[in-house]
Amino acid sequence: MRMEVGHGMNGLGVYLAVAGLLIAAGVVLPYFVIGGGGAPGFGLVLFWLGFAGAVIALIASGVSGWRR
Amino acid sequence: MIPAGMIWAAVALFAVFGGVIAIAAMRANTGTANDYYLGSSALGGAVAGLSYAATTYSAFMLIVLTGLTYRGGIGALGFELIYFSGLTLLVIFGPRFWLAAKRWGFITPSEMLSARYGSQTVGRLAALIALVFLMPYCTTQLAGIGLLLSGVTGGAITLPVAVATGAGLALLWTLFAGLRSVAWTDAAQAAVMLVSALLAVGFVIAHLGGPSAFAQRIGSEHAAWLDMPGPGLWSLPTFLALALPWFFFALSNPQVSQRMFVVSDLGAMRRMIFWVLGFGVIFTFISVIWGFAALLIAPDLDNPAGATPALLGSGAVPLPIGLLLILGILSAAVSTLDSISLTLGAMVARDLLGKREGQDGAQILIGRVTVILVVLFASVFALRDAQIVSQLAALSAAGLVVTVPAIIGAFFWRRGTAAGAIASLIGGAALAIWMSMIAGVSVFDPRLAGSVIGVATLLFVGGSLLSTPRRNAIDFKSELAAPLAAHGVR
Repeated sequence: MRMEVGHGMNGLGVYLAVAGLLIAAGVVLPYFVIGGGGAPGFGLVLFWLGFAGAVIALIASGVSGWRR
Repeated sequence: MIPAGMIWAAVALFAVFGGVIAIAAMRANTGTANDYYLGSSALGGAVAGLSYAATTYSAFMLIVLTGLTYRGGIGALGFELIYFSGLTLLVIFGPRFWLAAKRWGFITPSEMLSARYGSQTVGRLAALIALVFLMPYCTTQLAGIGLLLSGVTGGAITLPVAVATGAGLALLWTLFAGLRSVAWTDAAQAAVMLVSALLAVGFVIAHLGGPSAFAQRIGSEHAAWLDMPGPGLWSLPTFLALALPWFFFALSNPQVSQRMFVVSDLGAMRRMIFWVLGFGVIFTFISVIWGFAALLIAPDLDNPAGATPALLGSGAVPLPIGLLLILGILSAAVSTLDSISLTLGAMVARDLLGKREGQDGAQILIGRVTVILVVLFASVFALRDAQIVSQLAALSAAGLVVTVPAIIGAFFWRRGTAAGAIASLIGGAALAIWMSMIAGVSVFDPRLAGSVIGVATLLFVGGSLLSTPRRNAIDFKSELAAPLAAHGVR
């Protein structure tokens, strides 16, 4: 997945939308979907691992179009 | 307890090591203000990235975040990763900051705002706000050093002596060679932080029977700590209260946003970002695992901020590794403190006192005096109460966030004006101070950060719509469009 941030406001808009969704998921899912169920396990740890990986992937796609 | 003599020996070696780096950096100085404060904007990606990481990941991580994990569980990881996700802002603002600085010769982020809005008052206010809110943040670094060194030695190293040690190292590595010295020592300190933390957490996990046994014990003995909201700390309002202002850290804190000025080109900036990401994700998980380990090894602490000293004194970590980790935490604190004080020095010289090109000697002198005053102030404040570490650190984030609307508007809203920016900065900062200091609203209450961000944004937009852009304001959006496109960042 490449966001093409470097190629127009549409690319920036897509990047912002994906980042917004990702961060919203980082708040909503732990509290209302994965956590809070009364039977805690390591699901939240795995979720946060995936969240960190998704942030890195998003940023990597965002800078991929940069030229020196 | 760790013998104080061994800690002094380790600190002395560390000081000599950093001193050699600082002297080497000083030999490369050219004597200009740009060189002193930005290293002539010629840093490579690795040094810039490790310096950014060492600056942004402070003693907070292995003192406060570990304590927050100890007290509230996995929510601490979520909070820190929301902060981590704020690095997505670098993709948008990194090239814009860098191009603006390159084109107009900015040294501080606040003078960039002055130029954009055509008003010195905007930059002066931003600099003043940075001074007011970064002081507590500096204090937390020295308080963290005090808590750590006095904690692991059972008070043999007293709080004043520990604070003086941290202050002395920060001054040594900042005064003579400025940013080049700070960046080089930061890079070395980042390596110490990461290696020491990895080794220490590895030994602690081994002490607990390995990763499986560690996870099994956490799951069985502290299951509530694996849930959100967990055992009580991480209610959704508290999570939002802390995460919201910290998300904007990369923009709101000038000591890190200034790092967007220092790289040689966008290739170096890209590498810088990857170094920060790599360091950040590893250090975050280590800090949280460290907190969980403390929960198993020292479960009855009254003060969660004492989790790290308790672990180091538990025998789970071999003495050499413990000493290395102490140096790592010392590194985290000093690297943040020296970067903040240097940035504040540049802001005082350029934004508050108006020194510019042709006054390089005066700019550097003012910066050095400011660095000394900032470190002295932080030292005195750190000695008054070391128990308020987490509150003060979080308050600085909520206060500095008032600069964010003006920064975003600088690049994306032509209609933004000096009047809007001034109203936003004054109104937002006044509200943050009033709510926190007078109304007694806790930093764990989302009304604080939410109100500050909301009011600052409304004042910026409303003030801008009710006024007109000044004639000398620079239209960044138009002026930077072509260079951004040329660099593939349109």
